[in-house]
Formats: sequence, C-alpha cells, structure tokens
Amino acid sequence: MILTLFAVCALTFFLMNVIPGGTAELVLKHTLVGLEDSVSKEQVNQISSRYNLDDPLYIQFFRWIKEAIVTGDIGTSYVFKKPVLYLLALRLPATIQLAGVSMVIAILAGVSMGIYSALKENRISDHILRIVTLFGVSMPGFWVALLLILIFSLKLKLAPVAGYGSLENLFLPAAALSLHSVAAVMRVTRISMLETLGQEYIRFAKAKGLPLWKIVSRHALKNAMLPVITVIGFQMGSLLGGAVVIEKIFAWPGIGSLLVDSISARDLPVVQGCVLAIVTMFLFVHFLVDMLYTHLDPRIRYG
Amino acid sequence: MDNVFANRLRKKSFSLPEAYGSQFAKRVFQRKDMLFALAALLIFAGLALFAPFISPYDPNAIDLKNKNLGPSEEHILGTDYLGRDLLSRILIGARTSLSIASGVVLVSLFLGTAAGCAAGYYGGLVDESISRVIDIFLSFPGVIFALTIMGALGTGIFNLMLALSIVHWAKYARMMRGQVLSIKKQEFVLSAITGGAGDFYIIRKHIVPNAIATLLVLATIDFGHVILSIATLSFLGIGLPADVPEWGAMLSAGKEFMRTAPYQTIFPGLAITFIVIIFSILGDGMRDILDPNHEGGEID
Amino acid sequence: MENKNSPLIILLIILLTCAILATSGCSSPEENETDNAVSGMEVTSGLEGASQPEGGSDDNILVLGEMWNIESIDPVNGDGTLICEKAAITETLVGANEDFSLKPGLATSWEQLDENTWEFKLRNNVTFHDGSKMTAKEVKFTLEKVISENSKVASMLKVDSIEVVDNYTLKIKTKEINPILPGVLHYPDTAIISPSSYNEKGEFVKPVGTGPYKFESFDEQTRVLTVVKNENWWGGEVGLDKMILKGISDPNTRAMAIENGDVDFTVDVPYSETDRIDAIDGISVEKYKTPRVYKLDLNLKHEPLEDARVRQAMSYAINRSDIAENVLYNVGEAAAGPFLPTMVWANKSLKPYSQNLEKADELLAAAGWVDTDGDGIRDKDGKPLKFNLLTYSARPGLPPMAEAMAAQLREAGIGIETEVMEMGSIDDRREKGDWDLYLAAYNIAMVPDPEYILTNWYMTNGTDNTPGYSNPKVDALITEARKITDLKERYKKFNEVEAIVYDEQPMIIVAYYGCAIVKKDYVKGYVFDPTAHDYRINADMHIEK
Repeated sequence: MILTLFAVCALTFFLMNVIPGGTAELVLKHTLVGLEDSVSKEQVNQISSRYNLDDPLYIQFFRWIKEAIVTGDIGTSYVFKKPVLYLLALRLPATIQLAGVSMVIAILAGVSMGIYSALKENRISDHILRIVTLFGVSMPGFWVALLLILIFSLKLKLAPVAGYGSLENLFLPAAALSLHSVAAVMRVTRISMLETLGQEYIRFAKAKGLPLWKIVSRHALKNAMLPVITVIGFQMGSLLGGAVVIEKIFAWPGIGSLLVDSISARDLPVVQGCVLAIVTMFLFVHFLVDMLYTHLDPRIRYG
Repeated sequence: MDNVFANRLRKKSFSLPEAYGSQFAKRVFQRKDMLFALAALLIFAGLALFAPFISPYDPNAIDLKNKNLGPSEEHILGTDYLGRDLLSRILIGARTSLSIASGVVLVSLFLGTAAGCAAGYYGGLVDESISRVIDIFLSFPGVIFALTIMGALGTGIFNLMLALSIVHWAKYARMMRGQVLSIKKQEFVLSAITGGAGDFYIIRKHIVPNAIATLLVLATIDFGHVILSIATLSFLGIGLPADVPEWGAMLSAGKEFMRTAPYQTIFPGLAITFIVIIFSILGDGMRDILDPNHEGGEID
Repeated sequence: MENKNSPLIILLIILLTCAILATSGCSSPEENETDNAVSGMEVTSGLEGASQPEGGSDDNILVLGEMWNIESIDPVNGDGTLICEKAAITETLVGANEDFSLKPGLATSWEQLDENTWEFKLRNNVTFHDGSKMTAKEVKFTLEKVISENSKVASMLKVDSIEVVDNYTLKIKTKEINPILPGVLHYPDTAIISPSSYNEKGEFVKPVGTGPYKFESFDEQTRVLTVVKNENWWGGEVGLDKMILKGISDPNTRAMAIENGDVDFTVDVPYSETDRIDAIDGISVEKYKTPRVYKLDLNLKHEPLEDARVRQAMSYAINRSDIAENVLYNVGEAAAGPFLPTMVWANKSLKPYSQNLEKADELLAAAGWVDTDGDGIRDKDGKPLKFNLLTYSARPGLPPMAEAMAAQLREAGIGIETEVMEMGSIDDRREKGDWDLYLAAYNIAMVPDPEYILTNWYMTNGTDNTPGYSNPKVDALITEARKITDLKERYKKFNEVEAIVYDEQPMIIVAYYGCAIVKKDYVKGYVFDPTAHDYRINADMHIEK
C-alpha cells in the first residue's frame, strides 16, 4: 500500500508537469495579476525561485518526498499560501461527512429496497423499483443534482440551495450523490437475495413455518451480504469521484472542489495532497471491505 | 489484499458453453428486454451513422434570432442558446458520443487484454510488475484520475479519449489476468503446452477466445460508464468545449438555461440516460446468459 | 410467500435509516468544532457563521452571495477586492467618481511636488476598528507591506521611499516619473490597514481597517465571512447591522439561492436568467457596465492580418449589437474603443463599428481577397482566408461569443475555427505564435487612468500587446502624454491614440463587459459603483421591510 501511494504521488506529480503553460505563470494569474493579464518575466522568476520551480522535475519530486517523510510536511499551497496539510484538515471533514452519509444512505436504502424487491419478485413494485434504479445508475450525476435543487429547493422549498454547516444543507447533496450507489447496491442485493432465497435451507425454514422477517434477518441476509459488501467497496470510488461534481454544485467546501480549483490554478502541492488523501481513503475502504469479506466468508483466507 | 482481489476474480471466470454462437443468439432471442435494447441500440447507431443525411439543419449553423426555442414544427426538438437546431445536434452528437466511447472501450479492451494476458500467462516477474501497475491505476477513483489527466492535457476529443483510456484499461487487464489464470489450468491448454505449441499460438488460439466473452460483458457495461464520464468531465469544464456537438458537452452547456429553456438539457440528458440504460441491459443480459450463477454486481 | 410481514420490515428499515442519518448528521458539526480547535485556526473559529439565520430575516442583516469562493481574507495578498469593496472593511487613500476621475478617500488631497515626488494629505478624523487613530505612520506601514508582498501593486507604484512628514502628511518618492500613482492608490489591494492586523510574529490575523463595517468572524470551513456595523465610522451613519458574505462560485447556484431566499443580494446570475429573475416578485435585476471589455486580438505577425484593411473588414463583419443582445442578454453593450464612454478620458467621438457587409466586401476585395472557387471562403493566390480563434471558458460569455462571431465572419467569407481551451494551453500557443485570433475579457481600469491600458496594449512591446502592434506615432504620443501633468492636455494625447487604434483595429473591441446586480426589493440604498472591480457594497445600504 505504501508503494502504491508512492507511485500515485509520482504519477500525479509528473502528470501535472507535462502540461502546457508554465506553473509559475499560471499561479501568478490566479493569485495576483488577474486571469487575462500578462505576467512579467521578473514576477515569473520571483515565483519560480521562491518555490524552486526551475529545478529538474525529479529533484523537485524527491525533495517533496523527503520533506513528506522526514517532517511530514507535504508542501505549501502556491495560491492559498498555507500548508497543504492545514487545507486538507479544513476540507476533509466536509467530504468525509458527505461521502459517509451518502454511503450510509446507499447501504440502508439500497439493501432494504433490494430485499423488498427480491421478496416481491416480478410483482409491480419490483418492476417499478428496478426501472427506477435503472434510471438511477444511468443519469448523469450533475443533472440529477440540478433537478433535485429545482424540485426540492425551488418548488417545494424544503431545503436550501447550497451551503455547508447545518443538517438541512446536507440533505440534497447527499441524496444526489448517493442515488447512483443506492441503485447499484439495490440491484446487487436483489439478485443476491433472490439466489439465497432459492436455497434449500431457506425453503426448509419456510416449510417449518418461521415468519418471513425472521428468515430474512436471521438466515438469508447474512449469506446474501457477501456480494453486497464487494459492491459497496467499489461504490466508494464512484462516491469520491461523484463528490467532485456535487461539491461544485452545492458550494460544499470539500476536498473535491478544492482539487478541481487547484488543477486549473496549477496549485501543484494542493493537487498532490488532495489526490493522496482521496486515494488513501479509497484504499482504506477497500482494505476494510476485504477484512469484512474474509471475516464473513471463511472460504477466503489470506496467503 | 491482492489475493482477495484475485480470489474474487477467479470465481467470476465462466467458460463458454459449447456451440457458443447459436446458443447465445437463441438465449438473446428469449429475452424480451435484451431484444428491445438491441433494437434501440441499432436505431441509435443507424441515426448516428446517417446523421449528416437525416438531420434537418446544419448542426453548427447559428441563428441568434431564433435561440432558446421550444419544440415547434420547424425545429422538432427546439433550438439551443445560439439558435442551433437541437435535433440535428443530438443526431450528430450521437456520432461523437458513440465514437468516443467506442474508441475508449476498444483501446482499453485491447490494452487490457494484452497486459492481462502477459501477466496471467507468463506469471513470475512479468505478472508481479504488471499487477503492480494495474493496482496503482485502480487505486484512483476513476473520475479523479481522469480529472487529473485532463487537467494536464487540456480539453479536446483526442485528449479525452486518451485520458479515459488510461483510466479504463486497468479494469480490463485485471479481469483478463484472472481469466487467463483459470483458463491456463484447463486440460486443453495444458495439452497444447505439452504438445509444444508456441506461446503466442496458445494465447491466440486458446486463451483469448475463451476469455473474451467475460471481457465483452465488461466492455458493454463500461460503454455506458464512459459516456457518463464524458458528461461529468465536460460539466467540470475540462472535457469537451461547449461548441462540440456531443451529448455531455451539450448537457453541461445547457445547464445555464435549465430554467428559461429546459429543452436543451432535457433532450441530451435523456439521450445519455437511454444509451446508458441500453448498454446496461445488454451487459446484464449477456452476463446472465454466459454465467447463470453469477453473484452479480461486481462488474459495476 | 407470506407478504403480511414484509411492509413492516420495510417500515422498520426506513425508520432505522432515518435514525442513523439524523444522528450522523448531528454529530458532524461537533467533529468540526473540535477540528477547528485542534488545527488552531488563527481566525476566530466561527461556528456562528454556520448557525446564522438564513436570508430574509427580520433584522437589519444582509446575506450576500459572493461570486468567488471566500478562501482567505488577507487584504494585501490578493483579497483586497473582497475586503475593501465587498466587505467594506477597509478603504483606500484615493476614491473615484462615476466618470473615473479621482476624488478624496482617506487622503484629502495630493500634489506632485516634482517629477518623482508626491505629497499626500490625510484625513485627520479617521480611526481604525481597534480604536487607534489613522496617521501617516499606519499608511506608510500598509504601503510598505503591500509593496513587499504584492509584486503587481509594487510594479505599478514604482515607489522608491515613503516618508512621514507629520501625523497627517506623507511624502512618496517614485523611482521614475509615475503619473498614475494616485490612481494605483485607488486599487483595493492598497487599502489602509492597522498594524494590529498582524500578530507579534508578523503573521496576518484579521483585517483591521477604517471602513463602515468591522470584521467579526471568518469561518474557514464554511467559508462564511461576517462583518458588523462600525458605529464610529468617520463617514457617518452605516446602514446595516451586519452582513454575512457567502461565496457561491456557480452562477446557476447563485440564481437559485436568491430565488430560494438563501441570500438577499448577489451578482452575475447566468445572463440568460436575468429577465426571468427580474420578473419574479420581490427580486430585481439591474444591469450595468463594468470597466472590462471583450476584445479580439489579431495576430499581426500572420500575413493576412498584417493588412489593416482585412482587420477593418473583420470589424465591419461583426454584428456587435446582435451579440450584446443575444449572447450577453444586454448584460454588456457594443463597444467602440477600449474605454467606456462614461470615462472622463475616453474619446467620445468614436462609435462602435456597425455591421456592414458591403463595406467589408469592398475592403477585402481591395486587399485582394475574393472567393474565386465558390466555396464561400475568400482566397488569394490559392490560399484561403481562414483563421483559428482561441478563447477560454472561465468567463461564461466568451465561448458562445466566439461561436457567434465565427458565424458572422463566415458570412463575410472569412473561415473561422474556434478552439476553447485552458488558460495554460492558450499561453503556450501564444508564446509559440501558433494563433490567429484570441478572444478575451480584459480589465480596462484596474487603475483609473488611461495610461496603464494604452501603454500595455498599444505601445511597441507593451506587456499586453498580444497582437504585436507597433506604430511609432502611437508610441510617441503615449511617451509625450506621460510627462504632462495637466489632465486635459494629457487626455487629449490619449484621445489621439484611441482614434488611431480605432482606425487601424489591431484589436477588435467587441463589447463592454456587463454586471448584473440581483437583489431583493427590501434591500434599499444601493448605488452601483462603476469603478469597483466587481461590485462595491456602499454604506447606505440597508434593509427596509
């Protein structure tokens, strides 16, 4: 995992440097001079030497790595002129909150709808749910978000349009972000549940006259959960990716919007920090999923 | 962790039924949803192919006096913010969207197959290093990775295809590797190896044909994802510029007019939604047919 | 299957979902709080910002939807516009009238003693928000701070030394003759702050200014800046008790926020939305011109564009008023020269080129460009008259304007291919000379004086002279004007320059940039300040329901 993170850093670093347009010049345009105005040579040189941008890339990279490992300092933002770690500490909670709540919605709503749909297989409500979720996974996320604002904020006046801080501000972005994952989790749960419900021992339990909810909660659920857990791990990636768009629309002060802004301003240390944080979160969730998986499925063991 | 990945993948491999082609076609015909999706796809593809001949207007012809119109007799779907005919743009846009997506899927499929074959077949150090690279590429959430690459490359059709291919190939490689690992152990491959057949021959004759079905399922479902990614990147301002007639670009350019002239987002939005639905029905269906016992979902 | 039980299960699960959701949502603000404390924010950790009442409250509080995200509040380091003009915390030495002529600000008068020496007399009744008096000492402190930290302002000020003569008199020596010095001191980054804005270590803490509003809190997490009334403002009564500034960077979201009542005042909703929003009860939209122009640079190093006739023909081919009406929705206006006609120094005799395809045809034919092969594109010596047009999307008006212009130029037989790209790629292409036309939006009164723009744009080797234009006569006029202190005489020279470039069209000035102010009807007393860099909040604004 450490090696992966290292490679991710290297990849991002060199990617951001193949770009057309000098870093120093763009940084200046985004901070001091104004987007369209020309930048004087002295100003460029001043910035370049302040951040050692004239050194060969690999030297810059290894300096960065060294600093990161020795002092834990992963750089200072060119634009905000603050330590990247500070900015991450500021923005991460918002993203974790948004992605976390969306994940909880995805799991709870997805699993319960999946079970419901499986129990009602081929009835009207099953078909409706399936069609709805098919749309859910197929609509572009930002379109959904804008439609939600139109309906819930402007028509029904149930939620503020944008902002951050209170519970009602969380409602729409979390709904918009989780929609895709709810649909994905629901589809997997339904299939997996159907399969489990068809098994011998469930039919046996049913024949014994156990009430349905008991069968589902005691027996079927646990066995049906394995693929669901897998898909949840994969959904974390789409949640973190989707967060970029959702944060932009809802003026949510998270790490995704920070990343987008920093890319266009060539704020390299911040881009680096954001990518690192996102990848770490992603890998961490995968790690958790794998732990859970091995725990639930005795057939799989490490080694 | 890698082992768990591999384990999960190994379970997914499914060998092809005998009498592959006819059997498959027969199954497809038994499924109404797939037939329906296939028909819809053919219609879309046909429209895209003949777009220049059937579109009523030049998709780039600007007519400022007639901007932001709703559907009418002259403009069946209305006009956009520069007075360009929406129907014509959606038709031409089908071309752009579908060809970008096909390009990305084909390139990823090819790269992924090659890398996955090499890793799975040769094993050892080759496998070790390729798997490492695959892991690295998969440790980025897709959109974030594409975003970073596009940030570096700048907007444009070619850059977009390049960025999305870089993001997508690893999925195919990982799946291909898993496939190769399980196929390699099978009787007919082992006998071919002892029979002294060359590596390339075995890969071409035995491995790829047996693994490709699974990859095609992935490719089908992935097609929709690519189209959604294009839209997302265009929305963030780093996919395609608004003047390119492409559904995602149209949708994000039209978002400013959602209140005053909603048609310019509704129609491209629906077009995207439908094409993604079509591909996900086809992909699911293919998977059901090829692997009736699958646990589902993982490919998503 | 037994179905009786299943609805019950679903209900249970849904309830559970709600419960967990609620708790997870509630717990997060607490986390944030501890986070703030741990990371040791320099700025008052403002959870208050989060729990502020939304817009439309009964009190005399204004919620403002700012157009950029509020990331930092350092007035000398790039946030001057926000702190000085939008939050009204600080003020500049020099003010400006509606016609961009200068007027007293914190300085009551100024005088050029000799070529390189200026003397400023300061207002003697001004106190900072921390209660201390504003004297020449603090002004010197601020200016030196800005010069050392902000290279752009430093390069415009060209200051050699600053000397405190007495409590309310300041002498500024410049390195070279610099007639725009008072104008630069109108730039918000030079607004005067108290040294108590910094802590003992010299780190910036919060902006302490002299303006009508006092800094109260800035929450870096929610990006909400709160200011309160300065009861002791030297300028008199202040309208609002409190103002809450929230950054909303997306124009669509701003439009929806004011419609939903989340904010009371905002700017630049999507241009196409202005009429619809204006029609809503209780909200009004006002359209103004701001000191910025949309202009098309022509690469004079490329052969066909070298010919002034081709450039004039292009200017005649463009329908400016059509663009202003249909692309900008009248947020902006057809333009003649680089300056707004309302500016005191502008050459008022110039009128925008109006579309005249016959004239364009005449000029192009005279230059030898005719369509010989009937493909709709003119050609000469077998070469077609085709250009690429670069622009960027950071300003929403640009890409559609480029498309519309391309269509109009095609009508005149000039082939155009538009390319929308990132700023970095554009810089790259411009450096390589790999471009023909470049559409951009430039600020024309960063400093309220014509010299700055005319030098940068039209002088040989001027910093923003992208076309590579060079006319000895223009150079001579600007150099002469620079030495003239009498404003009337000075402006006369500049008017001549304007007339020459109007005729030669090295850049085609397409339209004046507009600004749409959107506010609730109960916000009273607002006066638009055309010299502000985006918009300015004035002290008279108040809420009246």
